Amino acid sequence: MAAGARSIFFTTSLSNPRIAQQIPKAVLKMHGLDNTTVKSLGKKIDSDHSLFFRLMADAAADQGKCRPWNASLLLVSVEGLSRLIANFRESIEAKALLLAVLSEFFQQSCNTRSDYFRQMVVSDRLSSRQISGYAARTVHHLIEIMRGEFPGFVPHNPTMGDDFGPFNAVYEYLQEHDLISARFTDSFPLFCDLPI
Amino acid sequence: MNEGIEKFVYYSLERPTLVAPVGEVQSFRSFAREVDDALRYIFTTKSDLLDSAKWGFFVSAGKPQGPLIARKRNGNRREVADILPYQEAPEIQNDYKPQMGNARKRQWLISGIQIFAKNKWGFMGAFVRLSSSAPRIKPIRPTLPDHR
Repeated sequence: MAAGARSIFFTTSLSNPRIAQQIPKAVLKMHGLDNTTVKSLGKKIDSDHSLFFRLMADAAADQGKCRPWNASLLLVSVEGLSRLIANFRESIEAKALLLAVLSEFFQQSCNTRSDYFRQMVVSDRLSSRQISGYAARTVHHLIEIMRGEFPGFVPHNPTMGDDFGPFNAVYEYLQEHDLISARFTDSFPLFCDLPI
Repeated sequence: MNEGIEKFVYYSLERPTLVAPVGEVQSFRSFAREVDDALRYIFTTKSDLLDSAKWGFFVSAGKPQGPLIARKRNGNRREVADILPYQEAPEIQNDYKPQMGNARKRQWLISGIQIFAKNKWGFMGAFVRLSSSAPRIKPIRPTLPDHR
């Protein structure tokens, strides 16, 4: 949830008091913000857009309009797993499991290993130049995005298998609460979001 | 990156993800030039790292422009990074065409709302558009031996 929320930003200012006034008190209480003034709440959500998206999600769940976000976990007992792995020479299932785990680990860590090498190359190349540490880190980050290793923001486009989902959801929410006005939505697009 | 003839993504310098700013960036124009300069240097000295990637830096036209910082590069040739106001960039307009069409169709673009308004801060206050026409590099996938 936090990772997803941190991947979406409004492009307009959220400090408008009309926005803060729309957040239900029960939801503000959940986040310990019930005693915050509208003005300081506006400043707070403007500086942390992920907080605003969490408030929106909680407000929607609070009104029973959607089910709260959740995650599923698969729990395997260590004792049972240890017994299975200890017997891997005789058990085809244990061998298959070990191979699958190692294969998955290799695949998942492949890009990480390559990333280390690229980071070394970038650092080596830039070591002779006067560049701030943050700029050098950004350069490395951009190279990873260019290579498709890290995601980036793109506008919605249905020809790319996009259904305008998050964009429509936010605008519908604003429309429902009568927030689509020139004063508030003083620019377009209102926000950018990260494709998955 | 996006699949298609030209794949592109935006990365915001003002609202960066994954990389938290260390210290305050005083000027996004200067910062963009610093990053651009480093990318060009890597592209020149280690081109295989960037493949066929292209990039362009954009800022909001509503922000203070500040003086352009001229640098000496390649001897005496003076050169400055080309940072464009995104409100006037046709490629950005084109990128947002389907999204604007959707908003118009659903009557969310009411009269009075400015498209790509100036004086805007936030994600599109300063960003870089990265694009490539090369196929995305795929990680090496090992195959499992048939143990049965």
